[in-house]
Amino acid sequence: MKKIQESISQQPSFIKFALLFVTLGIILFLFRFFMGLGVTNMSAGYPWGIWIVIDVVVGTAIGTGGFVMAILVYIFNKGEYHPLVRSAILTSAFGYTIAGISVIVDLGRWWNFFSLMFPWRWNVHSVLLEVALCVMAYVIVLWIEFSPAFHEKGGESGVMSIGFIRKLVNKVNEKKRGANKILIVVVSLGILLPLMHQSSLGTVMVIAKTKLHPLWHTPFLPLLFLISIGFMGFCMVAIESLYSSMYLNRKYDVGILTKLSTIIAITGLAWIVLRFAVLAGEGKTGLIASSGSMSAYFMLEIATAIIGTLLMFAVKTLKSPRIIFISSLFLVFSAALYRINTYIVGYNPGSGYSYTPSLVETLGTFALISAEFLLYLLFIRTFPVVQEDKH
Amino acid sequence: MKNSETHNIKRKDFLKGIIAVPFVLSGLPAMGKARALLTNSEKNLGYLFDSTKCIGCRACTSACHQVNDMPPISHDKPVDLSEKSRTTIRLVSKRNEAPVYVKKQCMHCLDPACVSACPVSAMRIDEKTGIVDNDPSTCIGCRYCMVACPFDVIQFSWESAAPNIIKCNMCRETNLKDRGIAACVDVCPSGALIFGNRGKLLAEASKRIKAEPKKYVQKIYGEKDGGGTNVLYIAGKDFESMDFPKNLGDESPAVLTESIQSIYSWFIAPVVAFILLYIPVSKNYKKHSGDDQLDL
Repeated sequence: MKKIQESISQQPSFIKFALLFVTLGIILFLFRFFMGLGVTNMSAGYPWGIWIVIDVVVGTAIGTGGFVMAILVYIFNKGEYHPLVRSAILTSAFGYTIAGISVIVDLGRWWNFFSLMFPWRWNVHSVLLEVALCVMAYVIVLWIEFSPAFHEKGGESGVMSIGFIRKLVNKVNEKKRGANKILIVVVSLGILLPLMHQSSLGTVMVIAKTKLHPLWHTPFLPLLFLISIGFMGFCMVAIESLYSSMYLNRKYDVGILTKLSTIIAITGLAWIVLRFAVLAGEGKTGLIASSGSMSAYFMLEIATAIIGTLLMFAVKTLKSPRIIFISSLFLVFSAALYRINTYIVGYNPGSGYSYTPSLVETLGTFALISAEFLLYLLFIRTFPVVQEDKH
Repeated sequence: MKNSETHNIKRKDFLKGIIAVPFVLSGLPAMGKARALLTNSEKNLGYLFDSTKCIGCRACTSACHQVNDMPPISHDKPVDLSEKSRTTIRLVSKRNEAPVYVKKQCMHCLDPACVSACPVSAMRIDEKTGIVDNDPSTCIGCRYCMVACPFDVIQFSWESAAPNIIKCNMCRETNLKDRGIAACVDVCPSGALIFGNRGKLLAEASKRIKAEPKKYVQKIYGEKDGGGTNVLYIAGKDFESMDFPKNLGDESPAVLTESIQSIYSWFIAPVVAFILLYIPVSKNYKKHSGDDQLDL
């Protein structure tokens, strides 16, 4: 105990803050299981709050770095991006695991969770079933994708001290790359599953056609959600690469990140064009300016996307890691806001309902983000994640 | 040699396993509901609410409480739908207008969005009666039914550590079983509610609005709205001003979503996509073998 205390006191203050949030979050979540979901500000009008929308819908979107990097490296055969893959997979693994934890906390009747595992209870028409199954499967896929790091590190400490995990890690990684069919199947699934559920997270809100504001409601929601993953995933890869280089005192991967910025800028542009094309096609352009506060949220979402995209186009000439970082933040903010707008802001059940997250909800979400952050830092220090600088 | 043989068998089994998955999954759509069943709705159970006859006495909400063993609440003041109340009477007229009341509860849609949304088939429609009800034994409390419901009538017991989805089930386990009629209709003193088969209710509603065209708006709400409902309304006021959803249209919200999701039907598209992904992944994976230490 004393040893733990000492090692905590040596940490920088932001880590202490994060630890405080995590401890508080664990207490609040236990509290929620005894008190029911009344500790949240959800209501019959707003049955989903930030525990679903920020922790799961935005949280998994932020965790799509592993997915987009896998597409780039293994489908488009861009081997030069290889050094970024493993840290991307790690962020994704934490993002999705934490989203899974949030779902359990948010489920009213969590003890019936196993209903999802019984095929005879499945409703194959339900978008949410597809999302739930894909996300569960993808969490497993991500940890298997990350398992080579456990294997390289070896030893029998940490997670490797758990017998079945050690056996599993060794089993998956016993064959050399190239001959390793298990990993090839897993990598393919690691592209297929996010392709399915990240688009379906958009389809989820199609059914709420009478409640969702027409600026957001469209049958193209799945396509818009999927394309925005393109820049969001890559931006997260850029942010975490720059941050971990700073944290571990290594040189920034400016060369690779500059190349990446062009891809980000093109997907960003594609999204903006599609967003306006859909609105124009559905004859909703008039609503852009005439929807009061909804117009303001829409403008903020689009403006940040445009600024981020333009800055990304400028990276090629400026070659500045700072610009990459800032424009990535703009684009991640935009894509996150797009999801929050689709699920909460643009969602109006009428009858005088309103929703502002409660203190418990806000602190709970902070706790999960802090946990993700701390575990990421712990892992990049413990396992071979960030590549040593060879340049 | 022997080694490589056992290895091959293992690999074959593995591939067989993967190939088996889509076949197992392809059987699943048959277990889902078939939309065609719902078109034959003449014999469904339902009731007709005639707003022009409702005097706002709330005997219906009180009876609903007693019969369905809901927590006691005061009926002196209007109580909106909540975990304590499956039905309510809302006053929807403006000041200086004659009072107009509208009863709110589950509409028992013919093609319910909540049933389509529920991931674990806990929300179900009874094929014989058309009653939509939730089965708590499988419900996971995800509340997607509440998001999906265009009428916003599904409730949830937020304050409970073991919460439930709460909605009208037409007294199927209580008054309907004992007396063959929903409790609210059973006690209505003014004749604003009548119970029966949907076909007969539609005929009665149509007779009433045609007989007194000045008194009634010429529309039976629920005849087609949202794909049709078993609870039907006639009124002297237009329905949008009576807290009914705007832009619902004549199609269930489930239709558009399910047509998007039909991309996954029989699980063919995901399997094809997997194969299309597997080919380049396996090629590129081998190509880079040994490039650097940090694969994946």
